[in-house]
Amino acid sequence: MKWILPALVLSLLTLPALAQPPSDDEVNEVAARLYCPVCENVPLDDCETAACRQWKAEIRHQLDAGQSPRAIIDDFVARFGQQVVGTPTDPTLRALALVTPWALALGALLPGALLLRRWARQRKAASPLQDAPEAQDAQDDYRARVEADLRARR
Amino acid sequence: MLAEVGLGALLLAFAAAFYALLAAVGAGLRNRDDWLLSARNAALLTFPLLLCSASALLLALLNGHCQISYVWSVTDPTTPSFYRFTALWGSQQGSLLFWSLLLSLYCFSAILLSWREHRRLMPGVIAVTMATLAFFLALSLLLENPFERFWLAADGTVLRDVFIPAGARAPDLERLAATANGLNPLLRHFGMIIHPPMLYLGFTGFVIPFAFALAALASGDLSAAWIRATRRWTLLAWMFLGLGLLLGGRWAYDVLGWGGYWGWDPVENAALLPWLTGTAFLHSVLIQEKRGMLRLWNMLLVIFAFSAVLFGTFATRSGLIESVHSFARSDIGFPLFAFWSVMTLVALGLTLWRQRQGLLRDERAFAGLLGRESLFVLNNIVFAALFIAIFWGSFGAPLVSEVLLDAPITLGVDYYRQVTPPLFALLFLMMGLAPLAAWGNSSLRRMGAGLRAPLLLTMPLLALLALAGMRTPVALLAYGLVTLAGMVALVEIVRGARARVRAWGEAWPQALRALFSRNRGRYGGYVVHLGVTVIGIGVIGSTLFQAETQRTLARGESLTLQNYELRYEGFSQALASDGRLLRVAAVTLSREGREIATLRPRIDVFPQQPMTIAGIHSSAENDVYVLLTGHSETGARATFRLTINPLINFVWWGGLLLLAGTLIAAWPHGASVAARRQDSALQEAQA
Repeated sequence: MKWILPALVLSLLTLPALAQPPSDDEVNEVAARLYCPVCENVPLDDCETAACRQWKAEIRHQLDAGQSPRAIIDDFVARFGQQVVGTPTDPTLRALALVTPWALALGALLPGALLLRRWARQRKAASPLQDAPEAQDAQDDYRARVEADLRARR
Repeated sequence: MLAEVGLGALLLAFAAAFYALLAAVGAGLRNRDDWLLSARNAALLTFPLLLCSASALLLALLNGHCQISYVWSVTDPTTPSFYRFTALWGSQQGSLLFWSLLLSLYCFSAILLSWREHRRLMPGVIAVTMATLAFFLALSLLLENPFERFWLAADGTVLRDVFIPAGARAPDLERLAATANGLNPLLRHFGMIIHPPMLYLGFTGFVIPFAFALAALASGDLSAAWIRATRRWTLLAWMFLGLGLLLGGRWAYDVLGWGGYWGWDPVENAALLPWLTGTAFLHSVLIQEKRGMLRLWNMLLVIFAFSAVLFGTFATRSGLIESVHSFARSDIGFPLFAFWSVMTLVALGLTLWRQRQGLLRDERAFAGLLGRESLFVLNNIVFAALFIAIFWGSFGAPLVSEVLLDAPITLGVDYYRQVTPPLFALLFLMMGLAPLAAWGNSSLRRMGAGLRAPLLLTMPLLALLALAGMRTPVALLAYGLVTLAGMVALVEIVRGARARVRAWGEAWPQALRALFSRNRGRYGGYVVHLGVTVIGIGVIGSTLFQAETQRTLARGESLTLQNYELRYEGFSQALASDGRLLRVAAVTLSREGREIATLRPRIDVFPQQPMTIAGIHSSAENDVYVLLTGHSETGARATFRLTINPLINFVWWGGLLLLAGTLIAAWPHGASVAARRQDSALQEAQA
């Protein structure tokens, strides 16, 4: 039992020295979620400009200091604004970005749905006799041409 | 001399286009056939004039006439002839002239080919095409003149002007050449000789369907004539744009050094938007041709396709977006924005006017929810939703958040990966179902019967994938949908050929040839579906299963990713003939202990910027993509990024199938060519 306390103290003292520095892959994982401050629309992990190298070095430093990826991204957003991330982290901007296209797409769906409804009504209004040739018209041009050719051969 | 010839031809082309516009409008309003003939001749003249102008610029580039400021800015004495040729579209002024040349080529061909058959639409067609051409030529003449030259003023200052300023003289050409810029390093790639022309051919080609649509609206002749006249042109423009997008992807993959081919960059998206609209139109136009339905919708699609082309041009060339694909900030932004707004509003106004008159009413009523028409409408809605999502991500959200909320945002890959996959999945589902539905009405039983064989072929493939270790539900679902869509196309082709084999005892190759030649549109379309399926397989594989790692290695050290091992062998530096410094690493790639390739990833250091060129080991299964991202002074240590892109080559192979299918679909039908010849002979005999 005597050796437990000194061993504990020793391990606590040597732990930071033995801890592995963050690997390139860990740095790139965070960098992939940030955007280059110089070349717009280029993820940080794909960019090799001086500014990007500096940012990646900073990510490495923060990971080394024990910061989580989320905390690092939040720190960059706080310092440089929402344009450094691929999708905004701010709830309002995030909702604006992600909900609007679906709302607009539903807006596009509406005329389509109305058109189908109008067609369905027109069909109900039409008499069954009018419908009969429609159903037969399901045969396409090609089939009609094949049949004409077959008739000609006979 | 070349500058004077080029500028003179450019001026004359503008005058001819403007005259043709006025004469065509007059001919349409006063019903004057002689004015129309005169407008046609002037419009036809624009192409040879612009060919002369572009040839003058090309000769100046090839011969290093660097007094012309465009030549000075995109070449230098060390630029190889190959890149002097591609420099024609390497910067704003030259590419605008090239754009106008292609536009005039389309106008020339469309007017000549449709003159007899669609005479009634010609005033409108000439007016719209020439208005567009005159606008772009005016931009070239007034704001981005490719023939502007350097002059030395009496006080020694260097001036840039089209004409010689008073008291100025030509500068010393050798001194000018010594300071020339050279071509942007990003453009020094074999793909750049094909990618921009394909993209521009795609963009400019959409002017023809737009012109016919507006001509139909203006003349009130809203029969199927304009649709018949434009379908093939739309197909051609769509094919070129698709090829341009794929070649652009390949260029990005080879040159930009990030291991991918599509970054959802706003400029890439600006080219994708008209392609999506064109795809929707190529499907829905079938409904108008066969059933006389969706007339208003088709009109809107043609308008939006060209509107998207103009908007994309504005976004790329105005400096609105900063991207590796865009041109530098320019004064042409406002005129382009104004032209885009005017053309779109005029087209929409005319459509609304004719709609109120009842001229865009459908001829036939709907027959059933499972009919091919309904599935095509659903397909169009999904295309519209995709258009909206991509437009919003590229332009809408960044503009709205910056202007209204004062919070600039960037929507990157994360956004598109959340929003677009369900829409693409729906598109593949429609692609699988729609060919099985009949025109008019269909039944679930009929569609189920049609689906049986494709499903029987798809299921074992999925089982094989699952047995091979693919357990991700999303991947299995995606591969299921994509493969099913391809199998439907394949089974339909086999079914059609088998019908001929059984009925007439034809051999299979003969039956297939006859099948394709008798109905090029339908079976060419199936080949396009197969191409899209193959592209889909490549996209899913390279997106969902991409693996990547990065490490710094000393010579002799290695890194491992999956079952590949990369060993760093050595480093060298050399000076290329065009002045760039090459820093090359030699690496050995092994798989499961067996050496399979020696790769040489490198960094090309140009005066303007460094470029990272990957070393790639390519196979049907995957690409092993190695980047040298950094190194120590002596090269004793170097940092490598190793990426494995599964199935990525399917993307390029699918592109070839897409090209083949479109060519089959667009190829003129033998019978109609013969019929046309007979018609011409008859007309000549009558004359």
